[in-house]
Amino acid sequence: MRIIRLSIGFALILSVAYNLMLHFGLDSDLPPISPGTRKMIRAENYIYNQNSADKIIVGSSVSAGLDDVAPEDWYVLSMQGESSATGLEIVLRSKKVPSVILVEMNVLERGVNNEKVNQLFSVARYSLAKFLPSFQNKNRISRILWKLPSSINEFQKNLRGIKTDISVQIKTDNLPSPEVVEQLLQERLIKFQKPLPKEVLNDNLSKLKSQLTELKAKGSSIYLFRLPEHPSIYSTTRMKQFIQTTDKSFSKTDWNWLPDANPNDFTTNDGQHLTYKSLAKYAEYLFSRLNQIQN
Amino acid sequence: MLFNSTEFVLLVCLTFVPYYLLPSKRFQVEILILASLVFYAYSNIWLLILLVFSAYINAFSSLKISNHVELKIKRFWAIAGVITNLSILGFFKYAGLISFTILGNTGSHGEFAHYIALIPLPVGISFYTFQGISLLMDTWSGNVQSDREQSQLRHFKHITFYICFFPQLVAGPIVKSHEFLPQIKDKRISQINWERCFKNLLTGYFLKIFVADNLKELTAWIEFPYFLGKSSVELTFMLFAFSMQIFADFAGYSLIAIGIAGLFGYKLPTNFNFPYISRSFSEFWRRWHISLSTWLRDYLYYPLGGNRRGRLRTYFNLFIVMFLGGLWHGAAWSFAVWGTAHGLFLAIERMITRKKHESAKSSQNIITILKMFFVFSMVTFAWLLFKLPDFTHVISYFTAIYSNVGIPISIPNLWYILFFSAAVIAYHFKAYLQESRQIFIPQKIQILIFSAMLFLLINDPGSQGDFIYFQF
Repeated sequence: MRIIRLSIGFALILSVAYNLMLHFGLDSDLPPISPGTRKMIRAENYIYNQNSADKIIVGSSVSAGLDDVAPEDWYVLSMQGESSATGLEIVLRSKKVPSVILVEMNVLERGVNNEKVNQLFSVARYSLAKFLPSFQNKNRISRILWKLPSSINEFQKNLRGIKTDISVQIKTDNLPSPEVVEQLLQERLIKFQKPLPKEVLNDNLSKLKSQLTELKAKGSSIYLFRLPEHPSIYSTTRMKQFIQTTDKSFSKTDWNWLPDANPNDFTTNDGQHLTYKSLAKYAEYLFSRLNQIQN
Repeated sequence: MLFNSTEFVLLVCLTFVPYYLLPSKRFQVEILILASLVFYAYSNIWLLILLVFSAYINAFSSLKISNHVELKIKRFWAIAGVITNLSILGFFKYAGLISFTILGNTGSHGEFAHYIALIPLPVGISFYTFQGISLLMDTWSGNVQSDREQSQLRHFKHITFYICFFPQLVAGPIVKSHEFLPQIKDKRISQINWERCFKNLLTGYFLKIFVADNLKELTAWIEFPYFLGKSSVELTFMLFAFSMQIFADFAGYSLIAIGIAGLFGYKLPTNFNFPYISRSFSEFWRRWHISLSTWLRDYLYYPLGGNRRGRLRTYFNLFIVMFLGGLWHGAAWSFAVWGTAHGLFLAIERMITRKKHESAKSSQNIITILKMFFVFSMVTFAWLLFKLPDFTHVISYFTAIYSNVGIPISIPNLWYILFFSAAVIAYHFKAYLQESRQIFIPQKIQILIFSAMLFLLINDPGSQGDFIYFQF
């Protein structure tokens, strides 16, 4: 039993020490291990930060990249594999009322990811992560340790000189090969030839509407927008269905829509997600239109 | 129900308390059967029907084998029982594959094949079917002595318990009946070896939650066509990571199963013995998924004649056992190819070592390490078939390793792979030192290592995911 007692004891001491180090500002700039962790960090930063941004963007991976190009006073709560509804649910459950919310309307196949939201707000996890920062995904040991040994940083610098960057995939337009891009586009076109079942689409839109209505009532200004996709996607059955149904459910007389950009002016890397350069260009377009409307 | 879920921890606690604390020990087996049924039914209650049916068929057949004295009748019941087990496995696991192979993928026949493929695969069916066959073979060969005084009800109860025992129900280790049935007796809390259970559970959860679940995030890119955009270095690292992941996932599961069974007073066989320090393929199969390897050896390789019927027949036996072993892993031809590749490795190795008359057994460190590296590399290349079932995608992967030299490397990914794989490397290095140099870790250092494992487990867990071997 001695080995059990001592192992648990030392592990607790290590954990306390680690939490103290985090409390005193230990941090890392290493990108998260996966898109899944990246989205958890995004959600946790919003939930646990007392001074959350007053202007937020919610959506899926289509708008998640805006994080790198949006003005600094905006918080991007768009998450890969999720929808605007999940982001709005996080806003509602965290009891915060942003003054402006930009809602991406590209991905309507998904509703609220209740599993993920419940996980974030489960009493045990919420309380632990709130008081012990080591339970937040941004503070995972594998990220923090990256910072510590200087030799690793040297190694990183040396390699960076050759052909690497910790965020090379995101911040340059280093696209996958044209064959891969074409294949991904074709896969998407095939998928979009079939309409989404009506019930699914209506359920997702009505949930979104009720969330937005609630936030509107609390005082948030809501703006809806659609990022441009590959021009060929617009002639598919599903895209037509999406545009038609959303225009009906969220009519331009009752809701603020930001005007769509011309898809021919932008490039995607899979038919749906804009390349970094295109995203930066779109961000410029989006926020200038928003300013025009607000003024 | 996953071993790393809150529900499972709750189930173990709720079973543990009445199991030991009820004044009478008479109902211990019943308590574990009940817990096992809850465990199995948690995700899909209908699957219980098949599990109970399988237990009943095996109990009934084994009773018939042991009750009859006439050899002919004994043989009849043994064969009937084995055929029933294999038919159940064949229907639920291979019907889809066979229909697609025979009927094709298109047209009206193809539609029928698609319909057949919709038959759900009950989780753990490959494991409990093999345990059922083990029972019948052991009873037939006299390895399991059934107590003639024992009532039929008691026999059915014990066999149901043997088939259903929840720690090993869905992913092994595959326990042979002659190892398990003699252990069924009253258990007392004072008999628990807490230290061993703690070590097994901590190591198991560490391998699963810290290593495998984190590496899973990185190896997710081994999917067509996404891997085509990765650099050669990353592709190689990802393959290495998958090798680490599959070990950590499965060995982790086995250690948790052994630890949990230990809490209830049962000893399950060791399933992994540091396979990545193997110097030969035959050694690899003595160290990897030992319960399956020994099952295949005892109930397939030996009955086929083993190595007693000449050289050619031995190669054929090795080949066929590994082919079927591969197919046991999954209903896809890629698994058969994987098994065949290992069969080929074993046969070639046997040919070479025969010629060299074991002269290859060198004590030189460098040669040993080179051999280890070679075996590990070949095993790792073969794992790709687990991740990419389409053989053309496997070829594309290797082509990409060769051609994607110019694509920039993502340093964070390499760091994460090395960070999470380091534990598996250290785990094997420790075993290598113990085996080759007789160097053992002092208890004080062990405590520090366990503390660090616990600390990492708490502060850097991966996202919860199924165990890879659940699909088999």
